[in-house]
Amino acid sequence: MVENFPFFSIFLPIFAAIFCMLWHERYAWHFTLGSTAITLLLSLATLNYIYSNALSVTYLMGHFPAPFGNEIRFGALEAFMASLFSGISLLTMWGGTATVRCDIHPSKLRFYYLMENLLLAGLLAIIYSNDIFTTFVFIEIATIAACSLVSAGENGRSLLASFVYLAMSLLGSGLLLLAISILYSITGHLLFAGLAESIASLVATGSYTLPLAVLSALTIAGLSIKSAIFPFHGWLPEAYSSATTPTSALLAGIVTKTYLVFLLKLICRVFGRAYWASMLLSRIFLACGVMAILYGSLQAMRQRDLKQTLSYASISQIGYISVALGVGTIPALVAACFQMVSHALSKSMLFMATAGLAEASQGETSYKTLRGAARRNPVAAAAFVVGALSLVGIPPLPGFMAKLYLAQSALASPEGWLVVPVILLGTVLGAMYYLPALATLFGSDTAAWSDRESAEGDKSPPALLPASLGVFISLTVLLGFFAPQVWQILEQGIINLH
Amino acid sequence: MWLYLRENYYQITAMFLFGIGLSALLLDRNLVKKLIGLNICNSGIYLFLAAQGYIRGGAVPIVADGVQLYINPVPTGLILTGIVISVSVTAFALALVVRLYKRYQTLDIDELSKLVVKEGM
Repeated sequence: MVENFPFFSIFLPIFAAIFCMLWHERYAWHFTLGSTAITLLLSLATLNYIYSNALSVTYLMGHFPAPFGNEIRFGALEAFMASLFSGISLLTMWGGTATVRCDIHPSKLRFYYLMENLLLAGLLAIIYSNDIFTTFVFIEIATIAACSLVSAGENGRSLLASFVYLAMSLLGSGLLLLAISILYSITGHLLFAGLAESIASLVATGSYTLPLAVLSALTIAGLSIKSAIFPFHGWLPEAYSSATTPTSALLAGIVTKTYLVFLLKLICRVFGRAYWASMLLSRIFLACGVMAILYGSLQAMRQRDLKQTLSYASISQIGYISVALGVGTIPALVAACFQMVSHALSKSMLFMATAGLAEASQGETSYKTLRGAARRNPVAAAAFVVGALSLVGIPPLPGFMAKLYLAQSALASPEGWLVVPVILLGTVLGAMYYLPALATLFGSDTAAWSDRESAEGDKSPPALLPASLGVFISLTVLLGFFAPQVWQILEQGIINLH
Repeated sequence: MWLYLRENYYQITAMFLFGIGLSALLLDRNLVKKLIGLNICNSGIYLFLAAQGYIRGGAVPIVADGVQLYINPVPTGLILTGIVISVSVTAFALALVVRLYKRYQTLDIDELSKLVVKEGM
């Protein structure tokens, strides 16, 4: 029975999206919340079933066998990521409702939740799908949903940012589609299993070397644009910082990660790890990651707006993931997944905390207005501290564990001389932009501010955001303490990918 | 060389189209022309995909008496899906362009970014 759950967890958000549109917008939020919660429960049940039985299941859609039917395939990795992503989606939606209501016109609210549902459905389908073309279709669905979530605020900045994001994403999917068509023409397959078999035999016989190299370069370029790997990061800062803050939390936390999960599945299940490690491309990918870590951190220091800082910090954090994917050994891939998990949790928490801090500072996120915001919203400040310390890499928080695992796996590989110093440098740079941000938040309040505060002091903040931040904080701390257990789940997932 | 060109001219044309579209998408400053470029880009990809499935002398893949060779229908199916996607994406992008034009009375991306920054101050 549990084998059917992933299918339901993809289709439930799609149906919820349709129902959001039909009824009064007052129900859209409740409806979405309910469907996302059920999706989360289904994913957790799948994870429990898969992990305790050490299984990986291939699920035939409509019971049509391989060359004709479509497949869903899931192991521990897919189930874990699906639970994480639907959990974060639930928490941002639950906690961010006040900010969303404030930023988005009431008549557009139901469309906002519709797109949020579609985004979740798209992401889950990308994670679970076992067919490269189906994945492409759901990538497009997720792209449209993500872009319309960015533009939902309908101010000039977010409209332009959304256009740039859309144009870049579509270029990325164009490259991916080109790669898929070359792949189909040399292998004749679209399902991962068939693709892996033919690519393995092509590599073994040494035929079609050039098309293989070209198509893997196109795939990597397309997915890099979508997940903002260093030279293709241009769309990210504006898109994240101009969107309404819960949307930024969702985008920064889970959307870019999903494309990297897909890339990881391609590396493990289609190209094969040995072939990936032998390619020049994996070295280039590693170098891009190194550049991303340095560039993102340096840019983050120069920003005068908290959301801009967090956006550039995301670029550098994604850099760690691409470094780990570039190293390419099994421990490094598990470290990449762990970094995805830790960054997804911490960065969504940071953005949600920013929403809380901004609420207490007239909706502004520039450092000037946020000075002393910690006193105005202590819970959000606490969440911000935990998130920032985690991403800087203070033990025992998950950001530290992720860096530790990455360094350990890199030391065992020939790239250790490059990766370990970069991690250390990245940690120092990370401290250099998070600590000034914390200093600003906890700095002394200006007199003018206290006056304005007391004037509207009677408006108490809604209790949902602090509650969701509390859940975020406890999840992050728990992830830090149970890192070895999570590592085991992810390792089983990666090994099962073969 | 001549033989190579004659055998692969669909693919070569497709890559030319892709290049034209890509340069319009990246280099042109007008938002609508960017979108046109994107669509030309996509058409190039669809032509490439269709050429992969075409078999010289093959018939339309509908089973009929006396036909031995059919073309491969799978790429055609993929292209149909792709066209649906690019129509919906173009519609969404055009909606964004209309919003931007109503607000700023310009389609030039450089001017738009200047105006957006000025508005934010």
